[in-house]
Amino acid sequence: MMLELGGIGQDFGAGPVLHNVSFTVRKGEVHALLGMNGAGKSTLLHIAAGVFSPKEGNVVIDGKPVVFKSPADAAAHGVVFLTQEVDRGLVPQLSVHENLTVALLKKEKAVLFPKKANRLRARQLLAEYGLELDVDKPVRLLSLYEKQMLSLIRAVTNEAKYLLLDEPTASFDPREAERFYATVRKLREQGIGIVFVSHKLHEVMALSDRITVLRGGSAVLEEEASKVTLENIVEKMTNGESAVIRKERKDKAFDEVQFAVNGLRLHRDAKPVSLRIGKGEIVTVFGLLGSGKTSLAETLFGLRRPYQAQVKGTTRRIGSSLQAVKAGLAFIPEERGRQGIWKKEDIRTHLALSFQGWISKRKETDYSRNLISSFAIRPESPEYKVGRLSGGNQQKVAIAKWFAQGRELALFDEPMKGIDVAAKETIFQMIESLAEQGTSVLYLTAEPDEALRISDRIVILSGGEIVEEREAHELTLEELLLAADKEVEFVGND
Amino acid sequence: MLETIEIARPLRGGKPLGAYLFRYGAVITVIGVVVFFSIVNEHFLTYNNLKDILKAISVTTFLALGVTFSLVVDGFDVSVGSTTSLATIAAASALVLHRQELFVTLLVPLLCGVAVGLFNAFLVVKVKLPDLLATLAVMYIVNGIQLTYTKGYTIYEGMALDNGAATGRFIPSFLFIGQGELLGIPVAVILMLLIVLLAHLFLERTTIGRHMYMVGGNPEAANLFGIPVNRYRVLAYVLSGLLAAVGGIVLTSRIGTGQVSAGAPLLMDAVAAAYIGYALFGEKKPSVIGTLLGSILIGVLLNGLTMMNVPYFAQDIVKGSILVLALAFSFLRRDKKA
Repeated sequence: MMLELGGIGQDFGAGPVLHNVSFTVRKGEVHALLGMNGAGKSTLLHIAAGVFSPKEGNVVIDGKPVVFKSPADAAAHGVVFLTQEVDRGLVPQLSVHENLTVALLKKEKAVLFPKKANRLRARQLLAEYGLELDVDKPVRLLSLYEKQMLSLIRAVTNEAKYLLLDEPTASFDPREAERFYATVRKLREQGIGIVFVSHKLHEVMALSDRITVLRGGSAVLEEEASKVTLENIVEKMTNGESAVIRKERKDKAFDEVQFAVNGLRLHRDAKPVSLRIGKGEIVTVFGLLGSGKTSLAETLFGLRRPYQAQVKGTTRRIGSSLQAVKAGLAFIPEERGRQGIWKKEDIRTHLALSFQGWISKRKETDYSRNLISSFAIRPESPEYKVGRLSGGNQQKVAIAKWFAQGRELALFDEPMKGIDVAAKETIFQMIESLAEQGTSVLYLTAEPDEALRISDRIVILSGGEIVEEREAHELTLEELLLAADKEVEFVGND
Repeated sequence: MLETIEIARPLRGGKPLGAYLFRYGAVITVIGVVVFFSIVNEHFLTYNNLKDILKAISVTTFLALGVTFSLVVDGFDVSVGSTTSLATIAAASALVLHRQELFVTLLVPLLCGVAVGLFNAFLVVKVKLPDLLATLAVMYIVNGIQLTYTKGYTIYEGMALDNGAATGRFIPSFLFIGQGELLGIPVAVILMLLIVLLAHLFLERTTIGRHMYMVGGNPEAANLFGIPVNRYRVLAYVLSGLLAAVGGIVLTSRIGTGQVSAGAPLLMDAVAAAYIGYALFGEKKPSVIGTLLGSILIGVLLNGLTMMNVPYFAQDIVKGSILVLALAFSFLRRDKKA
């Protein structure tokens, strides 16, 4: 009894993403799927979940070949995919019990349902899986953990036989993660097959029965979890390769501290964070999802609590984005489309956004043409609407809009999200050119290869605390992966 | 990981005729309406008639500009009609009841407009009410204030008061605003064109105006660029109130009395004008020139229909239909693109 993916090949037109990958998950086992970003994990999960069909290969459930037409079709066959965006499957304004039983009621073709019985049923289901929750609470008020658990329980009550979990614990605190593992173990005992994708290698080792590692679209390791070590896995993931590493800038000592902050608390229980960044230095904050990266970036940019920073030796209070910009900060947020650009405005308007006074179209156009050609923004017309650009070019515009004013510190929060390889390199060069002009750069990412490519220095963040700090050229990809996964002691507040 | 593939798109040109038709649909509608009336009525395209049209739309245009400013920051101000009424009463009261000279007569209604704008801004920005509902509530409140102040009576020269007749009067310098002419052009029209020009330069040629558009286009991105989003939203509502007050002054001066609720019927025309302008160049962006053309379209329609002896109670049907037509042109286009 198993879900089998056989000889899967996939190609989106830019070279193969998956090449002859076979992957099976048996009933009653936890099978971890590991790999660096771009290794093909997501693609493989999407194929297993019926999001798209494979170009080559086939899907077999319990010996019967199947072709999924849609995720709903896959779910009807008992294969359920739970994404990181747990909100997608839940109705935020409805209560826990309504969300939990909606599919059950549909299956029973119930037209009317008595609320009292429904509540009772929901309570029983929640109790069975050890989730303490008020069944009348609207789902929008739940924590991420509660939503994730609810989705999981709902899938199981809906007779899911195989569960595909994509980084389910990324934003859980250690106690929530522990309870989540307990539930996963319970499901395994019930005979459910679980595919588990995670970057937290320690938890993978503790939880999984089998481990498959993907690299560059091929399966490079498939082994019982008890027979491999963490080091084996990391070696397989990276193939002992070193990433492109930024050359050591020996000529620059970065003695001149341009931006410094002391004792910044990212959340109540975390140790305070202190940072010092030299003039023109590029520092990467490397941390997995849920490590507090975005929280750090937003705090530094004045979007959370006010704090004091030393900018070029003077103390500045930063409590709003306006104060942050006045203090010389720039912020390139993670959600580019929503936070970084104006889709209906043209390139020129973006690039000249910090100009003051009367608008001179000719001056702005000349200025824009200059930036457009230095950063290879395509198409080259300054009058082109930014919403119609490709993701990479949108990001170039989103970054270049800060260039008109000299910045002391630029914060980049996952700037390469959804950006193709060619544009990536240009964007790295943009960041380097910013640094050469004297801007300090704080680059926040969960991608080890990006961290090594761009940084002079790497700071490792975990659980809202800085756990390690290294010169980039001293580090290898493997060391970085292992360092970020150090278990942090959880300081509870009870 | 899925990788996006960059596709170079053609720069410009090569647009089919249909695209132009949609892009300039609203402009074509204006021209079509003008041509239609010129053909059916020989008196339509005369200097005096065109002057009448512009004079008739001048007050509506001020209100419509106010609505436009609120639309620019992605808000909406439906209190402009009431603000105009309040300004009308304030100006008439200053002249007739308090015997004031020109300066105070202009200052008081303008301050009223600013006050209403600040109150709107307080409700929308600080209390965070939805713009339509907040300004709707303010519309009622302000209307109630001017009715309460006048006890529902129109303010006119020599009106009966508790202690005899009112002694104040509408001074000539004040009446010149709404009734005078310079070089054969009505002063109200000159004032309208002047303010249209200023508003246009402000929104299109200064970085402050650009930042207002940025706030409306994506408030979150604007905030993350250090643009003071709330300050610009307050500014937009204050300008809206101020422009509505200017409309009230011109209206009082033209009719020479302080009629209660005089601004109320202008609201819907103003909103329609601003929305026609919004759709005008296929940009889906509120603009001053668009609003002016929208206002002219409505003025032309009213004038032409009256000349054709269409009864006033049927004119709203035509007005509404034209609004649908103008909007449909550009909103259909959006659907096609998506």
